[in-house]
Amino acid sequence: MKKFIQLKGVSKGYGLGQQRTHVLKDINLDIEEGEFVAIVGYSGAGKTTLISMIAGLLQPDSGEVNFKGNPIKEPDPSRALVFQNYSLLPWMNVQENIALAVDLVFSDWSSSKRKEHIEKYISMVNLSAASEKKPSELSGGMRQRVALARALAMDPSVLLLDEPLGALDALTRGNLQEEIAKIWSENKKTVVMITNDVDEGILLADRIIPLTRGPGATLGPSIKVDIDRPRDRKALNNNGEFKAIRKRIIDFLMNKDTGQDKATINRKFILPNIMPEDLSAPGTFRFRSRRPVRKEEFKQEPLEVEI
Amino acid sequence: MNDETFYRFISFLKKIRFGWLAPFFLLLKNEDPKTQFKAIFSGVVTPILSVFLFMWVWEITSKQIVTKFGTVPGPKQVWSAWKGLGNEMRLEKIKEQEHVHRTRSKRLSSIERYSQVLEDYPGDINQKINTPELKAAIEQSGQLVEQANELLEVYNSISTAESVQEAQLRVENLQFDSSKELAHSVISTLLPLEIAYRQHEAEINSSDKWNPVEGDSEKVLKSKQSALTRETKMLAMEKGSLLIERQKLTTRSTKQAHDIITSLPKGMRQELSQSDKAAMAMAPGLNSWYQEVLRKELETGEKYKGKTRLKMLLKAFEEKPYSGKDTYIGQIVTSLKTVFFGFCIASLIAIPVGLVCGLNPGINNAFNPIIQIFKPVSPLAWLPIVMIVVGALYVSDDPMFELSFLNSAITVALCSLWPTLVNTSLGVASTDKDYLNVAKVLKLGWYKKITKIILPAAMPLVFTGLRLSLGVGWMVLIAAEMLAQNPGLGKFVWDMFQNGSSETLSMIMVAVFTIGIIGFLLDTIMLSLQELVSFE
Repeated sequence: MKKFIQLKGVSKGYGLGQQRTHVLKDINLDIEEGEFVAIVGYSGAGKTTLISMIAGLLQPDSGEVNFKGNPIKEPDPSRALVFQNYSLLPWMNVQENIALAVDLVFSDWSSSKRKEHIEKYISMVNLSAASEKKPSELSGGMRQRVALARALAMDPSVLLLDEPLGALDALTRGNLQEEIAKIWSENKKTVVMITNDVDEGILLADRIIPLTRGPGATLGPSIKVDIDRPRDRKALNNNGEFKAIRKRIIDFLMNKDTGQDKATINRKFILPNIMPEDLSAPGTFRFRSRRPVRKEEFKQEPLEVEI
Repeated sequence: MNDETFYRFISFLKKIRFGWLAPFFLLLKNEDPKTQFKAIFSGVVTPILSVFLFMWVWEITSKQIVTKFGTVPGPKQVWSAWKGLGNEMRLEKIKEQEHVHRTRSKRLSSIERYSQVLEDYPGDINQKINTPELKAAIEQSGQLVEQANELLEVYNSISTAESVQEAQLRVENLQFDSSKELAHSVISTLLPLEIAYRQHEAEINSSDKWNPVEGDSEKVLKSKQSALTRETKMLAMEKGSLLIERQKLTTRSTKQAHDIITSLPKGMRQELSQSDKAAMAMAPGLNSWYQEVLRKELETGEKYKGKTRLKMLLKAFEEKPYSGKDTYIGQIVTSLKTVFFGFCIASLIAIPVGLVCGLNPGINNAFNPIIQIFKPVSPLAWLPIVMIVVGALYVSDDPMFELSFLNSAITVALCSLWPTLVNTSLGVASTDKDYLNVAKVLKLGWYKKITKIILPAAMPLVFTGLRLSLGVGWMVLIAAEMLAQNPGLGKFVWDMFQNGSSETLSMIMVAVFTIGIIGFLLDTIMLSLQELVSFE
């Protein structure tokens, strides 16, 4: 059987020559249809790079990224991506933002049907009252709902969420988490969510996978979340299973079970660009001779740090 | 107005540099009056004070500088020059009315004289072209024209009088009460001043008091010299105040004359314009009739006996538009037309090219040297090239645009192109990567990508560019008009400089203020547009 989404030995780096950093290294991941997978990791570990490759915005340096057995060459509306910073077009109101996507994906529909479709998704994220508003008039949470509605309205086969709630305050976060859970339980779409919040991952996902700290980050063991849905956030805190999973992931991320606690990074120095004033120079009116000498120097050295 | 629109309006005012108006509106809403008064003080009172200070410094320093045209004009003279321009416009209007009146009365008398010929006309004759009411109206307007003209002549006829008695004799010759009244006030106020000034001038010119005489010591020579300078300066000042008085009088008489000439009763005016329309509608018919008559004559060899009279009649129906000289407002309008035309050419080139440059770094690199080299070129360098090239290329018997208009418009375009081009390409190139990612994920086609994502995202910068371009264009235009002799404000300045009268400097200063104020208004309009398209 062909895997729905499959990443095989994927690695990716940025930069040139000595400066090149390997962000991701040897990533292997299989995702089945209808599954909700959360990937948890540090900021800057390469999570966005990973999801961009699944979306098709980036191509891996080596390895394969397959969708339904075919390599992913370019982005496609069937893999809708919800960006971390919403990426709503500020010159369009809520309805127009969603319409931009819907009109494109369902170009063969009649305009009244499309309109109905748009309305349906706006009301799904509880924004009917604000459908004429511009993004600048909305709060962060509302903007993210619009972004979510835009992605869902495209009726994608995979929904890719790139730290969708990362920029929100804790309370809004909680509300939106519940909404995402609800929407998912209604649609049962395949979802890949990236997050830096372990609790969020456990609350929402069927499977949670930690990503080690970069550079050269790779995926840790996949951990199944066997907690009955709907999951209640308050009750979850006392759930033994929840606590166990949480501990495992945090331990892994803190490198308790990998044995690897040192990494080498390239540190770039810029040496101070002013030489101290030469006070031993003979006192004279020609201040020029005593002027500090400007000097700029770069220095690079490998440095071992604890993580 | 509800609250939300009100505050949006206030913030809009602030964005288009009319923020100083905001406290007044807020005061109306009785919102924190103390803060508002403070804002009014800093935003309104201080600027007004500084303007007054500027005026004062100007007044003081201008008096110290004597040029070949007299002292440098202060604010008062400039203001009176501005009013003088108003007079000129009124005079133009009076002349135009006179011209219209003359055409009408000529037409009426021709129609009356050649009525027999007109009876032979096979087409319809609109009775409106010759009615008793029309006759009365034309007579009345003739009276008004005469009255106005006499009024305008009053000053010249009175002020040249040697004495008050002589002037009073001249008043007797005047026909209308309005002119007599004006003449009396001239005699009582202005005439003594005029006579005194003339005497003073003659005294200085004829007296040899200040001429150096042989045997004068250096000290005496010096004191003679300085006394002469003092006298001349005093004379100049006298002349200045006389000019202001004259200006006042001219303003008064032209206003009065203008009122008189436009005071025709409404019914009569209607009658006149109806007959104008009727005549204009009949003109083509008459003309073709005339052609027909000529053709028949050629065919049959038989002479039509009313031919000459018909030709005369036809002449009366021909419309000759009034071609007076350009008024100041007319020149401003020409300048605005030129700058907009040039600005439109520039925008039509700069926005697409900027878009292409912004989309493709390769093309941008290709264009870059050209942009960088031509951007700093002064309009004065472009103009000769434009004049020669346009003169060679734009040859037409029936030109849609005047050559001089095209010359300055194209020069404006060449100079105002760059800010829009550079800003558009920058705006397009710096489109937020997130928006482009959205386009990628949605797989937008290139056309939709440009119209839905890139152009709207670049719009604020495009408009910044357009605003800068219009500013540059307006500045360039004045120089271009001066050199290309295209009618407009620049030519006005140049003409004033060339004709070198006592009003030269004040007129140029009026033009300077006009240019500045219009430039400010254009900038404000563009700023408002920019605010409307910005999405922040």
